[in-house]
Amino acid sequence: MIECSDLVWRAGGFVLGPLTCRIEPGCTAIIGPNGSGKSSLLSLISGSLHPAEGMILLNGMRQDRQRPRAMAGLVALAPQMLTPPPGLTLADFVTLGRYRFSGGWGYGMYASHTSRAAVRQALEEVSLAHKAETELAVLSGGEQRLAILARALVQEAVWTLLDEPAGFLDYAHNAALHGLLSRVKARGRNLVLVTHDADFAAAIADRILCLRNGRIVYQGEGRDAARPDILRPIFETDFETTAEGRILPSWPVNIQET
Amino acid sequence: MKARHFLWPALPLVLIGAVFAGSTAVSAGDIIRGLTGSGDAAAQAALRTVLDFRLPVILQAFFVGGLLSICGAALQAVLQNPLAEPYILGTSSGAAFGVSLAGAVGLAPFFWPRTALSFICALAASALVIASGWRRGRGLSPLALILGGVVIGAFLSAATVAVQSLLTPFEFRNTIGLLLGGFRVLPTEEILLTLLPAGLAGLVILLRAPLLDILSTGITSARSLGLAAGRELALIVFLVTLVTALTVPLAGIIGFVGLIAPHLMRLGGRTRHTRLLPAAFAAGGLVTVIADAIAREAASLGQLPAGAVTAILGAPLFIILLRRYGGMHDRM
Repeated sequence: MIECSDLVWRAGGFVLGPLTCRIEPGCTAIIGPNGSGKSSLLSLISGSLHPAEGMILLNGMRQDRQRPRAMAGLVALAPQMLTPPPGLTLADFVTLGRYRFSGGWGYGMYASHTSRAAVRQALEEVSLAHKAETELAVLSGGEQRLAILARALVQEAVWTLLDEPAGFLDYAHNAALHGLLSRVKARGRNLVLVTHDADFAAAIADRILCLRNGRIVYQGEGRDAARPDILRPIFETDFETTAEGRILPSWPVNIQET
Repeated sequence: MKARHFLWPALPLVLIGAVFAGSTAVSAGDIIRGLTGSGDAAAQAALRTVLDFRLPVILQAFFVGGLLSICGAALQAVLQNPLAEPYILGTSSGAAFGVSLAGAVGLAPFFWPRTALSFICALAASALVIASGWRRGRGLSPLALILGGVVIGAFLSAATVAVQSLLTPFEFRNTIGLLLGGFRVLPTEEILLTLLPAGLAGLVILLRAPLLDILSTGITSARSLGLAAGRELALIVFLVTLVTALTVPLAGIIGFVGLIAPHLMRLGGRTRHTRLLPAAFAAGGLVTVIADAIAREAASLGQLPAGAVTAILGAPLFIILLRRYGGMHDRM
């Protein structure tokens, strides 16, 4: 379980929190409009940002007291985007996720059989095995996105945090991502994903946590949360539920006056 | 065909070829006759020229160039900046300032105090440049880092000239040798005292190659993979500064080698640091040996330092790289 208590983080004029929440094992989606603090919350949980006040417990342990390697075993972060390092192939890049299993100098991540097998499997899962030896920097934005996801998966952490996993993905890749996350979930991996897409969140997550202006404004179980009356005030736009049970913004998008 | 594939065959060819560059002409026949002891006085003289003058300089050039090249490759990885290099980041100028300071207070003849001053000033320059490129919450800005390096480098070069000008005109002539370095015949002891610790520092960087792969994805990313990234970054900057601080008193500033060699080796794409660093070492050594050979060939026209040759070759490459990468992560 991830427990945040009285968490406050400030940047410029923006204040996240004070925020108290519990994220249960399973798959949790954090949704909210742009600038609501979703990605900041994810960065705080992963330890790449430090809170001004409050603290985070990961499975009962103080997050800020973890050594980097222990932390990498607790939390794997798939950020929205990375500057692709020059020269590294896709397979090399994904292999870096295995660092926590190797010795201190990192040679094990390239050499070990388990590591190589895990990388191969992750690349197959994101349907990029045929590009394993291609330089990461020349892959498309969507493919780089999947590479980051694959790297987080081979890290095999207790919690895998995904920042906008569907960003940059076309329809086919989006469907593939959906399948992949469902399989990962079924294998018992705990996921926390940040998205502004309520429909995507509702389809994949067990629980939904809604942020607005740095505060939690709603928490609920998966499908139940994805109701027009709940989403309307959060996103300030009308939603409707389709016949297939999908929740989509009404078209044309009607921005409500506030 | 990749640049790497030409590297290893070129290595012995260039090293042997460099023996023949210089104002005194030596012939291969004379050297062989001198070596076998069957030659006349001319053969003996040729052999002495090679053993006493050419080889020490070639070996210095090879190791200094190779080590600076490893340093460049490592800085490019940890700072996520394809333009990083000890000279461009002002570290070399810091070391040169330290050496001139040592001269000003009469410490120039003493190896350790001189090296210590060189190291302190180089470290201060590195720290200042990195601090000037640091943006709170956003990490290192690649362009601010380069600008900081250029400005602090220019300041320290001017300060070096100022300090030197306070000394005798004879000492002042050494300023050029410091700012645009070159290789001289020096006591073996001094060469070993410099190259052994610098070589060790280079070896540590070389052995940490997989960690450079991790750091090249960025500090935040490296930390999330389980690496104590801040500590590792500090260690690499420390080692690079150490290598620079040791080599500058020996050979002066040899700029741009750390840029030319790693990028030549990256031309083929696909390069983990475990493969890049040894190749960059050899390539940096070769580039510097060639620059030194050109400098010695041209010496009959006057004094041309090897550092001037590397700068003349390296500056256009810097512009090409700046055009290629400059806009990519421009987030000042």
